[in-house]
Amino acid sequence: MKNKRLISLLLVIVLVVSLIAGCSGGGTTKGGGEGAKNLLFQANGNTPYINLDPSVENSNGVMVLHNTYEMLTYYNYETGKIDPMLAESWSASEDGKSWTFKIKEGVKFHDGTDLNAEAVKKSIDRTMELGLGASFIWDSVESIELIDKYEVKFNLKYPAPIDLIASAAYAAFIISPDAAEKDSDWFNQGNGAGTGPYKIQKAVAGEEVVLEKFDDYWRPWKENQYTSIIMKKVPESSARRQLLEKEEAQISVNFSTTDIEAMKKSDKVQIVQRPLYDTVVGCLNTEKYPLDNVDFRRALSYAFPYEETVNNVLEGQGVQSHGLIPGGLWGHSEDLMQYNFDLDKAKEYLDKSGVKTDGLTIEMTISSGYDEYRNFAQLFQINLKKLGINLEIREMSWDAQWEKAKNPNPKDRQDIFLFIWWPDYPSPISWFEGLVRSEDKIFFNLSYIKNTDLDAKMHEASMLTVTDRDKAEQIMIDMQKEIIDEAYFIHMYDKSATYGISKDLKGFTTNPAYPTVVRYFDLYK
Amino acid sequence: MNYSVIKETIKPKIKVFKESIYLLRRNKLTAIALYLILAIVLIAILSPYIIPYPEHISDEANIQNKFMPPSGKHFFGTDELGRDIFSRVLYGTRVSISTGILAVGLAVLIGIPLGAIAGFRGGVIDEVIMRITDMFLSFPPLLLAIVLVSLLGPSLNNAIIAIAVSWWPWYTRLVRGQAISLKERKFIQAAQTIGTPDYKIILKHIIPNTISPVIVQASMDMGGVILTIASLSFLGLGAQPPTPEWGLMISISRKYFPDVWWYSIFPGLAIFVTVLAFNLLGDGVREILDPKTRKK
Repeated sequence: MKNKRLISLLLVIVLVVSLIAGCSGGGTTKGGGEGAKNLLFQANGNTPYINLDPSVENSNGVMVLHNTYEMLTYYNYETGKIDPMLAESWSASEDGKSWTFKIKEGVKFHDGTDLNAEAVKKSIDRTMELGLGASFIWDSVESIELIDKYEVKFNLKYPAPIDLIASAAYAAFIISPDAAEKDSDWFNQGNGAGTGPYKIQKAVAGEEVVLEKFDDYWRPWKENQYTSIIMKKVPESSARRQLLEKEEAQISVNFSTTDIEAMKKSDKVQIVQRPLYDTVVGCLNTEKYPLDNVDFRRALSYAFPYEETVNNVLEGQGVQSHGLIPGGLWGHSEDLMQYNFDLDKAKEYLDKSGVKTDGLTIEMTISSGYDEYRNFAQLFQINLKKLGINLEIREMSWDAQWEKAKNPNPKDRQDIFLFIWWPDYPSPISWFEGLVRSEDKIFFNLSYIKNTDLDAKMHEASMLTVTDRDKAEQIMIDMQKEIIDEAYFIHMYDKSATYGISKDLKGFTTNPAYPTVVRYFDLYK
Repeated sequence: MNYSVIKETIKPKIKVFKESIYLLRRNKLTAIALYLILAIVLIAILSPYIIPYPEHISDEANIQNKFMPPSGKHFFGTDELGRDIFSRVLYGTRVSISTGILAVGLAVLIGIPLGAIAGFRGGVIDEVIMRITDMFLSFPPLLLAIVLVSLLGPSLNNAIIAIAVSWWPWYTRLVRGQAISLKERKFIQAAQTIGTPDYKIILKHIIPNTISPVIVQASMDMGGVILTIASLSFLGLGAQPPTPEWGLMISISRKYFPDVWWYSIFPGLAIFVTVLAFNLLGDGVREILDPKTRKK
């Protein structure tokens, strides 16, 4: 008996010791071996891709695809202008309904074929025909016409900013004509042929992607650039921080606030704050009692802890939103009214709404795995409790959360849906078309807004985007005034991204129009 | 019946009780476990009145004060919303003990009647009940509980149901074995001869005589059940924020570990002490009730 106890005690000690040892191991592929000096390791919290088909992927995979494929144009967020990429120049007709692009000569795909107008037509036709992912960005396109070998013309059904759409983060990639014949399975085996500076060497779904330099890239390579890239999923924030501190990883993102604080003290890591176009909103279910009552929705808007969320939960990794459109994009206005945290006002609107709070429970769904959501949701819960409202916080996977939101019976849906929205291409119209436009079949309008007046206005603004941007912007600001007054959303905050990068990494930059993307070609030692 | 008769009949019972107390005190580990459990239960009952920050359970947060290390003001430091971890860990005792008792109680309530019926009646009824029991036993209890909670939706109440559903077969088997041997005993046969209906025999004679092994089993299971609830909460399938449940606290805190070590360590210690105390008590009680150790 005694002996047995001793043995089990020893076993426990061994177990604990091995656990501790396991923690510091961190589960990494060492970037050792040949050519280690030009190897770059990016540790991500999420899987590096869902689908590697450039016509289909509408998720994380763009961080791979923007290094292996290119688009006709590229959105420069600093100037707000559109830069050439695979297109040399372009022009639009007076009415904005036909666009001509001149294609760059001498560009090669990874499979050795040359880039020409036909490849461009074939790529975009493929994306439109598949009709998956973000292919809807091309909805305005009637047909694509070949003018000559290096010139292509888009004929549109209605005016649309094709130069901007062609720079989209999703569904705008140009693929080699041979690869365009293949299906998604072929791409997902790690194949593909774009014009980007890197080729996929290895892709393991849900785990990692290894990229390698494409020698015939149309821009010249320099000595000190990175030739091999590893993108790997490392789910724990503290494990990613350890990789950076041990100089095994060069880039990582999405840390807990305590990890950021600790890394600020490290002499091996620098913390870089980058802008995003991500906005976090609480979509209020306007089809369900009591949130169908505008005064009740206003009361909720006054009960949200904006300041504490920005200052103490996010610790400065975000600012309180002014309406829907984030700072840095046109359509954003600092003059728009902001709800502030004010329980007296909330009480006032609650009384005005006539809703009896006695035992009232409302449900808020949030995506699981995000500490910051859970934290501010709990602060919100405490505030609502003071108003006599019981907030139930439901953490669920994105799929389950979205499934519930699409339930045919409004009563079975959530009351508040925590949603993070970013545009498919950098235009403010994305927020209106995504979150506000009336839908017959529920997609992303998760406040279930049915407002024909707003529908008409956003159509007008969308048409004017090409021909008269100032007027379009004014309409968008007016729309936001109405949206704020109706309190369809709790406009929580505009997010920014905090990267941890190695101290000797140079040229690091990101573009809010291309979320999660790091262009490795820009980086050097 | 006069007083002396009553005295005579309860005398052996008093003797047994005194013996038990003696054995309990002789076994130091069990005694310590017993005191610990008494303390834990006391904390569970009194926690709402003795904790320094009762408002930090669900009514208040103080986020400006987040992640403060342990100090005289906050013995166990503060959490991600600036709440006092000492108060929350103490209150967590209440959550764990009450859910543990509920889950074990529910499992016992399902398990005992089924086992008694199966053992006493035998035949087809026995076969059917025992094959169903085998079916449940073929799944590891934690896994079965995880599957059930995923189906029912994550909440503390559903976790209790899931644990009870995955735990009852053990009691059924235990009680069935006892019932089979009791069935052959003279007093049962006597009861049958005078025409006592089956349900009365089961209720009056079988179940009361199987209680002591069930109590041992239940006290040993308490530790395991509390651990399972903590595990489910750790996986996000049990208690939901802001409930101060130990497993949930550890789950949230692991993202801030090791910088905010106090957030994981104290709820972890609470689980450790509680589970250890129940397991030691279970061991001790088994030894005390075992006639072999008694004779010595």
